[in-house]
Amino acid sequence: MSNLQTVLSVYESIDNHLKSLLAKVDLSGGQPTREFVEQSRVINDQAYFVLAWGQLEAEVDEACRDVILSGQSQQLWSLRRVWSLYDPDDQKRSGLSFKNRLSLVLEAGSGPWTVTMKHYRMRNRIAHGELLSTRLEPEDMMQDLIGVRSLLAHR
Amino acid sequence: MKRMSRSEMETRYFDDDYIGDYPLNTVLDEVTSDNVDTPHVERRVDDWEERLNGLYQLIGELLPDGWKSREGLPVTMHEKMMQAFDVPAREIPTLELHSETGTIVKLAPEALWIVGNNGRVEMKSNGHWYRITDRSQIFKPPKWESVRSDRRREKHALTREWLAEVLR
Repeated sequence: MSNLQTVLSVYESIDNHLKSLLAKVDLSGGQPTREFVEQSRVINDQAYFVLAWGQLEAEVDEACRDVILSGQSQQLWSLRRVWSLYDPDDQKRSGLSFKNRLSLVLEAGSGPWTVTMKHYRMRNRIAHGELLSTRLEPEDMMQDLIGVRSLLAHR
Repeated sequence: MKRMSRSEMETRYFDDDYIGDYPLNTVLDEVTSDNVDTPHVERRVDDWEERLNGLYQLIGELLPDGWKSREGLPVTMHEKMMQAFDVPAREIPTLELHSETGTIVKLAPEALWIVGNNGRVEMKSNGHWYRITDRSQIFKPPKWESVRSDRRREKHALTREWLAEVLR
């Protein structure tokens, strides 16, 4: 997530610009319309959230790879055999869904796991074409993602 | 916006993101849950209006000498979440702060449904935009904090000192 702070800074800069544009629109009553600028802010929020999400997903995949490699390096075949089913270098780790990849590196059902899955659900809605009707606050959400990152198991 | 049904969701995402039902404690929960209904949205708007009135009362109590607060013109609230659940538009209160020297600072709600917090109010003073954000969970007592829009990582509790600095 090395680019997260940069992503956040760029987001803030654009959102501040749109906010000042909104104030000017109110004063002039001209173009672009207030509705257009407000919609731009909603889309900007969601675009940057999806960008930030990608950073966390890459971290989950990396941690998942480490866990698989760690399992495959067990001395005992009885411990190693289940891990041999997964290819650590395959992009989806041999067909594991995101939920299952996450469950390999965070305890399923725990608070951080649940929050991450809710973010993932929201990310899916946005990324699959359903623009959310609400504003997002990417700053706070990125802090959540940074917190989750620190909890990921790597072995 | 029409919500997708459970079966539509399953078809679309192959259930990869389904984690069962959960209580609605945050806006993130509301946005990702299939259990939001019209009474819930109506209750949320009522609660927002109550919290706004509480905030305006607090701001009035924190004002430095030489300032007075008075009710501003109400603004219309009809957020997309209300539209999606057929909740009619509502007039909600704003606040104006007047100084002895004629300066006027206006506080107006920006939005209730913001993923990451529980509603936001904005105000402009001395050329800077400030956000006053409720960090509480849904239907819990508010936890207000403020940031200047161009210094979003410097968070401030609402105190006399903070307000004096903003209005200086």
